[in-house]
Amino acid sequence: MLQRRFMIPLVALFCVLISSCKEDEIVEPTGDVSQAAVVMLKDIPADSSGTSGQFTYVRLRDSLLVSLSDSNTTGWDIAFRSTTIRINAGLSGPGQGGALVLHNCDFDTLSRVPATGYAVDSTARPATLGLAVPTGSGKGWYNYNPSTNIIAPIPGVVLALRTADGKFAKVQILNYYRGAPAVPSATDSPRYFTIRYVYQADGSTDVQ
Amino acid sequence: MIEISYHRPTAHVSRWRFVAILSVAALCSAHLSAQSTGSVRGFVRGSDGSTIMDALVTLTGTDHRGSTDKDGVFFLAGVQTGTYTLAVRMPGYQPSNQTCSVVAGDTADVAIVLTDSRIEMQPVVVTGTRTERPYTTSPVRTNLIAREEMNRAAARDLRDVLEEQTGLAIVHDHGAGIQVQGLDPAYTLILIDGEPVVGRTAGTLELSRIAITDVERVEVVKGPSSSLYGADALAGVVNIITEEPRTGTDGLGVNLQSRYGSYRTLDLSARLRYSGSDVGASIAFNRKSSAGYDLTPASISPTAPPTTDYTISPKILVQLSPFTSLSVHGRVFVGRQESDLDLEEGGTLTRMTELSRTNDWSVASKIEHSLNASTTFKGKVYVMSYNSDYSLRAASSGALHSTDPFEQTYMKAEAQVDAVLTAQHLFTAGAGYVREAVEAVRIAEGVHRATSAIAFAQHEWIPTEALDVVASIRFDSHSDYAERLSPKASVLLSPLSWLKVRLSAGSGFKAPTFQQLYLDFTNPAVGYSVFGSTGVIDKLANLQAGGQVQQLLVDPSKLSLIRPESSLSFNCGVDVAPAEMILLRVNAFRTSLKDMIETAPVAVKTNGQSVFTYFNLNRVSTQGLETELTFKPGAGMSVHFGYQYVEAIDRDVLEAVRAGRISKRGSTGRLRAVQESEYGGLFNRSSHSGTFKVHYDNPGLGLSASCRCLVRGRYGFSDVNGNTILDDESEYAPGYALWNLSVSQRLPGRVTLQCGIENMLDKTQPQFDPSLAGRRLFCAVSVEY
Repeated sequence: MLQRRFMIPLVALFCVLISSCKEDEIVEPTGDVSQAAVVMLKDIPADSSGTSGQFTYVRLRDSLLVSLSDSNTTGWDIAFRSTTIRINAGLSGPGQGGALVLHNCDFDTLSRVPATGYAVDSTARPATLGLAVPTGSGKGWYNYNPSTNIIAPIPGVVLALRTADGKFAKVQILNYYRGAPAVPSATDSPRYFTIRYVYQADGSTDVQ
Repeated sequence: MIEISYHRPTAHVSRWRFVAILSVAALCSAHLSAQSTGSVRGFVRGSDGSTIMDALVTLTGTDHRGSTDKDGVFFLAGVQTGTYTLAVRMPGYQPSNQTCSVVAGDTADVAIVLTDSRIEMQPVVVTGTRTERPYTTSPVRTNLIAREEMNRAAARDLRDVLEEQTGLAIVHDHGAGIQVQGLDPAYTLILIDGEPVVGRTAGTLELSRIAITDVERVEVVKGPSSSLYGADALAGVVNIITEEPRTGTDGLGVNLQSRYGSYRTLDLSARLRYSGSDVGASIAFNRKSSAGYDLTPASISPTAPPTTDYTISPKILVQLSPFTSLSVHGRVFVGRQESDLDLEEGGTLTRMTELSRTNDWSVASKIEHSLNASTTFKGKVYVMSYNSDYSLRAASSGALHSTDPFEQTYMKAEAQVDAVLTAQHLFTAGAGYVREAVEAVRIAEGVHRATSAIAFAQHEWIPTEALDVVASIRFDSHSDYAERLSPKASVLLSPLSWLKVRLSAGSGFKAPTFQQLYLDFTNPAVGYSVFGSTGVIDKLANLQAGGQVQQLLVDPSKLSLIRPESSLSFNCGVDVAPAEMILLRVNAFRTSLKDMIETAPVAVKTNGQSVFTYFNLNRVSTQGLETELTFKPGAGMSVHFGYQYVEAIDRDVLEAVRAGRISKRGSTGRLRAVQESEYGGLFNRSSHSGTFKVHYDNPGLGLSASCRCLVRGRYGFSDVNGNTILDDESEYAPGYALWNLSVSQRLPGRVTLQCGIENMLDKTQPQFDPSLAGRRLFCAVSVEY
């Protein structure tokens, strides 16, 4: 007994619904990416026991983990302790380091890092808790997911880095868990950084 | 013009009045134009032949109105000649509209028979307008869940009842709550007999806390109702209507019910009813227990711990006079959950016993007095207290490890007047005062008290049979957050007998939580602080005086009272009944929420950590469509199909996506901006959900069967790719369908047997939804005397 006059608006309604669900085509980026100079460092422990309170100091030039006793020298560029990152300058060390957090930036295609505008770890910048790479979810390099307790690097965050000796590099944090699992879970061990970077030894800002 | 209206005449007086009126009327008609006016006299009785006193009689389109006397007689004089519609209204009876012709100098005699609305079993709803209205013609769209439906599903508590409704998704966050029109459980107000139930954890009011032993029906109004109920009635209102004790001569009545099923779930319910001539009383008792279940046997803590809940609700109704009644409803709930877990502290595991205890009680007293046939006064005093404690003890020694007591008290005094001004104009107004107190560990000084004053008014205008307009507005003034004015307007259009269109626009609000208002917390390990909005200025000043503040990020003098989260909503519903056996109900909705409360830093401490407080920041909008189709082909069969589509988006996130400010790694591993089409909105919402139900009733055999299917489409579970938003296939939990079956058979001796299977296909998803228990069988017996 359903009459035609009821069917017309019903059909129209479903047409509207279906058309509103139509999705745009998603285009993935293409083009060659030179990976020649990219260095990958896996599972850098960053106070991995969670109790020592010590940073792990890294020198980019030769991908070396610098011993703790050299922490007050210009022998390191970037240091990790849990989610906190320090750069060798200002409050953190005697170097000429600095960092710039670049957002929505494709590490693969970033050819030049800025020459100026680098932030230095200091107590004078309280809005970002004093560090060139701020801590806190959504503020610096990571997002914290309270429902899964997982720390994940923010997609598109690249650190433009000035090293302790005034050279430039681009650094990307890829993972915070041991073995760099693609989808970390609560059973994975945290406080292990996996990073990739391009270091420019000639003092220019070219990081391609 | 002469208007006659008299109230509750005694037999003695009424005769005299009647005579007096007749003489006055005669004089008047003689005095006025004898050629152009006449009178209407009538007799109103019920369909059982009883005379009906105090029925309201109105000549539509004129100022003539009156009410019937003890003998059911009314008289309207000085009426211009012509043909009129005589409208007769009496609570408890169906409205009558009858044509009558007035002849100059003559008296038209009419006889009116009113049909008892209870005999007709016309369902009544109360939530949408705070006054009783027939379900089918309520101007505010209401979903009604009848007792019959709860029995059919062998529902044990409110969670079971709401779970099978189209457009109500059960979600779990510190308890089972309902999502209405895409909004979280915190945005829906739960009422028992019109009074708010308090005691939420993280915004969720645990639905299984509410037993349904003496529940007559559940009404759900979707869309904001803050204009009548104030705070938290933003996404909707669920009003649980319990059965009121009756006065009359029924004597005693007893109901006994028990249900046993998988996971050793046992329900025992009893109801005792007494009905005297002026006093009615009832008491309902429910005990509910379950051994719980474990979907993850590898871990020590069970998925659902064993629980035992008790509910007792006594009620009394006293008819103080034919026009005055007093009712008192009480309710006591005691709940307990206990299980073991392994607590990790400093790298070592300790076996702990986790005990969660919840108690609440409430007393609602109401006095209802009919001032006259058209005006009713209701005075209410309501008190509810909720307390909970969550404790951990070492399983071996019993030593207390931690405890988290919480206590909340809510007291309300309220007066309401309902007036039928004319048959076209109905008016309701009320005012009240609320005192709340909360006691908890992390609250400043451990305890906080707040007060609020409320006033509301509603006007309903029914100019024609085809149009019903109702507008309401409420003012809430609270001591701890900004005051709030909530308006709402609804229109019911009935242009054709088979078509009803309901439109409504309204504003709702959600009160800030106790945490957002009163929290006083400093993390002992890390050193950051979070202060509720009421105390943040003083707390900051204290920190500054103590030299602990390195820099202020916000000028404290600029911090103002937090505003409640507020919304603007539109609903458009259409009911189409092309044939007796078919009813199609469609409702489209859209809600824009603003001022959602989030934390943000206000200062940096000398230890480098931040001081946070709460601000009105985010904006969210939801929209969707709900469809219900009921088909009754006859022979006791009934088929119901329901579907809901909903979109819920964070508007700030959407703006960021549109501006290309949020990135992800695409399928090739390369970085790119998230596309708008990939943004899936808020987590934990199924865009598509539905219900499919088939019922069969054979009253002759006493047999009834029902098969129900609940479908929940895929929903965003959690961020995986690090950008915090729902934008990737890997971030969805798969959808599922649950099939429930139940069969009941009435036996001689007023005994009914019922058996059923819930979740027939044994669907579980422990990694996404631990509350999804596996296949369950049950058997139930009920006896009624």
